[in-house]
Amino acid sequence: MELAKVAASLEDGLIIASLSGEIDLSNAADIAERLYRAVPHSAQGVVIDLSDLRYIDSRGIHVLLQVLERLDVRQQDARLVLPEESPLFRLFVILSIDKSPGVHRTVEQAAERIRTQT
Amino acid sequence: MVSSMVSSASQRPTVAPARAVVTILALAGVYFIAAKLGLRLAFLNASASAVWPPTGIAIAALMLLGPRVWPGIFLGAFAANVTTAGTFATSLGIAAGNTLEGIVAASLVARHAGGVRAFERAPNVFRYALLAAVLSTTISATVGVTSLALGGFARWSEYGAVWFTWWLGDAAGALIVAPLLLLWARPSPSGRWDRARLIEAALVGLTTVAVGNVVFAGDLPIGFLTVPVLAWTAFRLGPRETAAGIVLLSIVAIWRTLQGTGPFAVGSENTSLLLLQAFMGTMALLNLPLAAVVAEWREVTRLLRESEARFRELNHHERGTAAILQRSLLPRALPEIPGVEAAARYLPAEPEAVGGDWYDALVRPDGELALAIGDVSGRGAEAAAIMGKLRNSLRAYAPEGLDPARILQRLNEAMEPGEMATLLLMVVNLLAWKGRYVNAGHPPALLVGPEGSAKYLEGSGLPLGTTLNRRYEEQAVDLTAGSTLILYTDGLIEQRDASLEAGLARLEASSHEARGAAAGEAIEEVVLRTLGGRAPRDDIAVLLVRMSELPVHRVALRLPAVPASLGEVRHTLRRWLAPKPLSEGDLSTLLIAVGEAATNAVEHAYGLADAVFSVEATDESGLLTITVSDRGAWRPPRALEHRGRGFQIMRGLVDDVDVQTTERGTSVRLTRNTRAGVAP
Repeated sequence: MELAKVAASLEDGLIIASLSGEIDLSNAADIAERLYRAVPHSAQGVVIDLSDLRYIDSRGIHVLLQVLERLDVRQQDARLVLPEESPLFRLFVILSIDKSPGVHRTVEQAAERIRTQT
Repeated sequence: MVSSMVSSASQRPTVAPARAVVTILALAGVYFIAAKLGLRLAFLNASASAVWPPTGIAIAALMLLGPRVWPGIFLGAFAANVTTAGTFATSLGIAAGNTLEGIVAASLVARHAGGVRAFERAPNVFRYALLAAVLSTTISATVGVTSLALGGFARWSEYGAVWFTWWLGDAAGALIVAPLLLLWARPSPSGRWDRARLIEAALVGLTTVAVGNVVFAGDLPIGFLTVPVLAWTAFRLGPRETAAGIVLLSIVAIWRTLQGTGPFAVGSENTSLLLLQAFMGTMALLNLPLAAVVAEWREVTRLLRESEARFRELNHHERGTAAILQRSLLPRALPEIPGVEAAARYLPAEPEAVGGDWYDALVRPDGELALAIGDVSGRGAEAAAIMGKLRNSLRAYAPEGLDPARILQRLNEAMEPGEMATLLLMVVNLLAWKGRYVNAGHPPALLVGPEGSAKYLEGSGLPLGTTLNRRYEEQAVDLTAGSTLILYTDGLIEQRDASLEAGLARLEASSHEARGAAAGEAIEEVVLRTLGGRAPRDDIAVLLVRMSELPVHRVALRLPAVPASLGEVRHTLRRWLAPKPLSEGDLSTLLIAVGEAATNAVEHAYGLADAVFSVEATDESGLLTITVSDRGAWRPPRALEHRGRGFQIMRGLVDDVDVQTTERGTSVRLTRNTRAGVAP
């Protein structure tokens, strides 16, 4: 099997992109590119769901944050979802991004926030 | 039809005769000399000798040169007899008997006992003994003695005794002389003569003569002493040398026995020689099959040993299309994963030919081990090209997120009309101890449990290339630590004279014996035992994979400093940590910390070929220590703040981080305490 997968679907003008598998130095750039391409210009925003992700390290998160920046340039609201139960949550805490405004606990919360922002 | 027959008939006399006449005359001369020598030892009747090497010469000549040389035997026999005793008529009769004996023997052996290769396979040696030495020789004895009796040169009352002498003399000649000629006329199967072997051969020869003289010059019944000498020859040197040893011993024995010494010098000279010939014939019957069996085992072992060396060699020296193809078809190295021992062998039936068998093994990015073995129908470059296509497609599809059945479907779509291949693809998850496989018409893989219980993994679909069924069904199998998977091609289990079931049973039985040994030894043992010492008749590819639990206390990895190695570190550590008392969150946290350190090592060496880094994990009663080391001596350490950030993350994830930077490189030691009662 490949190391990580990106599954994207369109729900009410929002792209819900679900990441699964593992992201490290070997595939981070590739996953970022696939994620970026999964978001059409027409989409209002994107929810990047990390609930099913098995592994990500600081390089992976760094690359994800770059995707958020690129989408922001296109004026598309992009948000990350990571539940507290996720085994990866500890890393988010250490990197102090667990409480940042772009990071949510559920897909619903993230989608709701994008819709109310506009 | 008619014109071609005419032209071949008109051509034959212009090309062949000169050479054929010379061959026939030369054979007649050799036969004449041997017959004269034999007749000098005829004591009971002037024409019936207990020592009759010409029979062996006749059989060997007819087999090596073809039946057309029979006039040489006839002429030689006639000339030898007419100048010894009897009349023109009796000599004609005897010569006819001698010739007929040779022709019958040669044709029976050609049909039923392997022909000129009769002495290279033990079962053929016994068939030869029965057909050529025991049965065919009755023709010469009957025709010859009847001719003598009719001509008045033998009394009818002694018919039985003379017949027996004649028959035994011929039989001994067939058993002692023919093997020597046949074996030495064919190219040596046992390779070149190096110095050590020459010295040993000389030593064996001298010992044979010495033992022969001790045994046959004394009066003690110590004939058995010849057994170890001949066994030595059979075991250490080979069939040719054994045949030579028997002839050498025979010469010494006949000479000594005629002098009236040795265990067989009893009563009349004829009786003594008969006893001696019976003894030597028995020795030949014992030692020639032994030598053949030993030579076959040695041949198969050599093929096995060579198969690895050959491909290593092929990687360095291109030798023609076949070699290049062959090299591209098999993996240069098998994956090296802790706890997994893999070995593969490829045995071609013919040394330089390209067959249709192939295997491959690779690690998918998610850590699953993919094993494949296949057999393309047909041979040569065409089969090789199809193999190459399948293997390359497999290598392209395997890392993608496809399950085995989908991969096989894709490979089937890559087949073109008329192409056909079998393939077994197995994907092993070493963390879950599960295997998933799909079989497209290939012989079933054998799963050998740690206790030796073996079972074939059933379930098979149609071969690739058939348009009938494009869906392949995936089968699942539970694996246990210490179990071994054996994937093979049909050449291993198919033998001309046995059923497929018998081959499968032999493989299953062989696998029991090999479960304790290291993979490299085990695979050789399995192949040798399954083949039962026979040289392979078809190409054979075998892939053996043994999966063990990782050692509880320590696991170590040494990997190329490339991003793809990061996954391998995690896959191995997950397997090592699985039995330990860590929550999923703790496990992830630890893996991330190791990942941070390993990523630094990989980036540190970035762009340098052959750079490696190592990971060592130890568990001292719950105190986990994982050390990631690189050899960074080739480049000054990176900016401290960059690394400092990484260390900060690591410190947040584990109990302790210790960094050692020396001239030789950087070593990061991460410690995590899992002992009960200690909070992280």
